[in-house]
Amino acid sequence: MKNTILLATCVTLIATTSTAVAHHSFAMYDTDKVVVLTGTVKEFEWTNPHALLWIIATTDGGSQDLWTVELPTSPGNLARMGWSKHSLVHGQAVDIEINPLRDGKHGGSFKKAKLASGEVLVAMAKDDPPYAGASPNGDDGGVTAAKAAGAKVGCSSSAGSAPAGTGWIWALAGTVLAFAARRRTGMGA
Amino acid sequence: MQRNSHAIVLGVAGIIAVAASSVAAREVRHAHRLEASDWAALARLPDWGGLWLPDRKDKTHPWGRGDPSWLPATAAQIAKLKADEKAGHPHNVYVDCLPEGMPSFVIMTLNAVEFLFTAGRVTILGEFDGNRLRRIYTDGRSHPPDPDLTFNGHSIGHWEGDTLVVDTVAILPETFLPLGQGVAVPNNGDMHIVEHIRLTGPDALRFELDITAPKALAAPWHVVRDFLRQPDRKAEIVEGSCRQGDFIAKTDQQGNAIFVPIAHDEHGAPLPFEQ
Repeated sequence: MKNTILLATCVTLIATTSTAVAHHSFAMYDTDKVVVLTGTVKEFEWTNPHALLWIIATTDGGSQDLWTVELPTSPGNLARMGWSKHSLVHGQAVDIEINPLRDGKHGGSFKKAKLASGEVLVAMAKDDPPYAGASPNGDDGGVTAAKAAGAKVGCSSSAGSAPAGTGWIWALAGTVLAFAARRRTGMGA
Repeated sequence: MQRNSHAIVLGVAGIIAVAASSVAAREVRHAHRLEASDWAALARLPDWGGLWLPDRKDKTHPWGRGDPSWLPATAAQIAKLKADEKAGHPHNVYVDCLPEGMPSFVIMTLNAVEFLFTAGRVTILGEFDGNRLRRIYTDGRSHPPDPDLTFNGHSIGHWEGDTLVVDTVAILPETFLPLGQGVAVPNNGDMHIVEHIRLTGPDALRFELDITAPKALAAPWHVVRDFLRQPDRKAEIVEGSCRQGDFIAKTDQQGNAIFVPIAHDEHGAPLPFEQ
């Protein structure tokens, strides 16, 4: 019954949202804002052209909201960065840093994920300088620029703008962990 | 004397006829079968094997290198598109799973490509754009006299040393001249693209495109796109689909595995079901 309701909801939504997007610009995400979603992974879709994360985030008030988080690139590129379809799994506790949609809806573009183990996942090629530049015009195969200073947040208990100047620490940690992941999976160059 | 003259004329005519039939035979050969020498010639070509990824320094390309010279009407459209993009309201151009086509196949890809050399043909396979491909005929043929218009057009190529020179025509007028995935205008017809593709280092390859599109551009647009070879053999090209991410995998009431469309906002961002 629950599935039936879900499917009916989907059909209704599709009837009112006709955009079939494929590859698309990421300009609808606000790179001037950083939001941290604290919650659990509902689903991690290893799909083209962009992998997609569904997360149930807990707000300051304790309620739970479903968010969609779009990764900036495809499984092929993510795999070459050390990711796999098992990098995030259903029920996993995570802190996800995103650039949110400008219109306030519960969607965002992925920046990084911090796991309960302390491991940090980033979608960044190993030869990318940390946050050195953004593609203003599309999925860029990597991370988009973080303009963390002054960011407004409001979703999770740990929500807050990343302290200015600490982005490189996240990026360095992520790069190291991504490299380690590649070594573990035999993907190291 | 006159008999000798007739003999000479007949002889020359015979030589011409034999030569003509030889040319015709070669045309037929090109059209239908290749010889061992054609395959042996592949050994003399440069090594473009392996998987190639766009050079990361190009990821904002071609924004960072200046716009082409647009026709005035086109320039006005581009200015509007740029302003909307900057304001967070992009007009996506690669929609409905239609092929991106040329020149986007080269200019806009952010994913891996690979090259296959076979006798008489170079094939470029893209992970981008649903693993679509380009066929470049290097067997000496010409463009067809009345080609059907397609997204990637009709491409013929030849080697000048280690540079592959590709000439492409018959591209659909709807394919875009892109400055991004939210800023592009249709070429509007009669587009002609000449590419020079060559290695610029042991693991570096460069496309140089000269794009003539008289119904959108005021002058030819010269675009450079670099790719880097990935040394890891495990970094293989994978299947890329253009719209799988627009759906979520579910199970229907009969227990079948199905794709269910998910919602998007007007700019293509996926949304939770309830929004």
